[in-house]
Amino acid sequence: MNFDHLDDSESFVVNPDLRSAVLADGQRRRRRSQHRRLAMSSCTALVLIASIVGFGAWATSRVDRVHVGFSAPPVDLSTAFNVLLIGSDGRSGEPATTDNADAVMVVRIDPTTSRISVLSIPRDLAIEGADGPRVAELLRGTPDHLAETIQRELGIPLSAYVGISFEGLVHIADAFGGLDVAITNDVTDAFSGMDLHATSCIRLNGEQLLAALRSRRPNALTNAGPLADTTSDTGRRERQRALIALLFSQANRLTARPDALDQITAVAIDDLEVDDRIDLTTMMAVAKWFSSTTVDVVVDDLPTEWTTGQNQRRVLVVTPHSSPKITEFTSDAITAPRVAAQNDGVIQPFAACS
Amino acid sequence: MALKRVMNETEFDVQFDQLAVIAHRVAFRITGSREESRDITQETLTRAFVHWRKASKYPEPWVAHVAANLAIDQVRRSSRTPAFDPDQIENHEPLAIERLDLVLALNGLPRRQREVIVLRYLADLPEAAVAHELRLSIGSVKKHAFRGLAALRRSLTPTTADPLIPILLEEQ
Repeated sequence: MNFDHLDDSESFVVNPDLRSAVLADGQRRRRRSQHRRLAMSSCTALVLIASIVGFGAWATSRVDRVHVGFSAPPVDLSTAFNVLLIGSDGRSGEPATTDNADAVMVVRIDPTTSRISVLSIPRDLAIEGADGPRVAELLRGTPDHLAETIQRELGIPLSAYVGISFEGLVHIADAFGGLDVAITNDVTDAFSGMDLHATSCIRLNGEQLLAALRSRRPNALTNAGPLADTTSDTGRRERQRALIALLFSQANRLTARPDALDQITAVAIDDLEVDDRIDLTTMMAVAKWFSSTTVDVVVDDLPTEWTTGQNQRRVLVVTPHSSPKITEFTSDAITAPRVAAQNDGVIQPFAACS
Repeated sequence: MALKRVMNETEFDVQFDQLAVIAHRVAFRITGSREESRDITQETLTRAFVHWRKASKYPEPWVAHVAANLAIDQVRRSSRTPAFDPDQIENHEPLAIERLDLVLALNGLPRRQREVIVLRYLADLPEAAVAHELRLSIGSVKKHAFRGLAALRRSLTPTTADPLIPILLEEQ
């Protein structure tokens, strides 16, 4: 196809005016374009910063907070710190109040050695002596009284408080895809809904984990025949300790999820209650540390003994045997990993996968 | 950074005349107006200067492409005014009608076919340059050119005895 007949009969001559007009207009448009790009990038950066700050403020404001007096400096990942951890049997989305607290623990996190030590404190412990209030009584309303008593009487400095519902633990387990656990015996509990078969390794989903954490009256099928656990709360605490230790040690699987930030934020908003001193940045830093570190976890009970007070009330009290355990949480001494002691009569079907 | 800019401007300056001729030819073939073609040439070259980093990769097809689009837009704008309606033009020049038919026929083509026809036949660029500018293979350029020409012939087939239409449709 030919379009030559449509050409101009006069040949086109490029004159200097055209060149100078193009260059002048071009320079002006370039400058305008640069200004526009600069303005756009500034606006984008501002919107981005505002979004991040806004999201952080929003997320921080959504997390339930409570005032707790601490004797130790705030959480700092360059040194060891203690956290008061209270597990309650509340539902997800409800405030993790201390009224229905089932598990009271002091968690010592030592980022320098990647070691986590957990000290489980019984609800029936009267920290100040046989006639003093029990832990369960100190927990009415807020954790402030309990934190103050632990710091004053046991000398354990605390840096932070975290309250979490059992369902929150389930959400955390779901956030990293379930909890890998070995089951040593077939074990059932009609009350909590636990029904697990012996296996070298199974990945518990959220519902299975919740049933295991709540189980107070499990029945096991052992080689010696059926066995019922009558230790009630003692046995339950022991199983909870084993499961929580596994939960801590598998937290680094969280990094495998592309939406880890969303998951952590959702758990923090729905299931956590924290002290009013900790900020979102610190929470994220701790979560990041957990997800990128293989931790060595030791969970132990605080050694105590039963006694009777003046009002004929049966309570647990600390003994001279408690001191070495408490010292692990008051000094920077590095303790060797240990196998947690096991109480008689407790059915403990949970262990780490081999 | 400044050195790079100076080098770019020098490169643009060296190619200025050649690019201006291409832009003017494409614009005139479509609009048929010296005044409009000069404006389109100036606008095309200004855009080439502003976007030289991109345009410098394939300057000739880039300039032809932009000039053709500006020219088609210009004819489309003008055709909306009653003065350019061929039925109402008194003593209208036959070539003006032919140009208007050409723009209407080009507008009726799929985008790729229109781009290939403009660059290959209105700007007289070789197939390789068209392929570079449109990021197509030479085979695809040939395919779009073949289909586009066939469609143009169908649109431009004279319904009345117009001595100029056969010239337009003549194969090289």
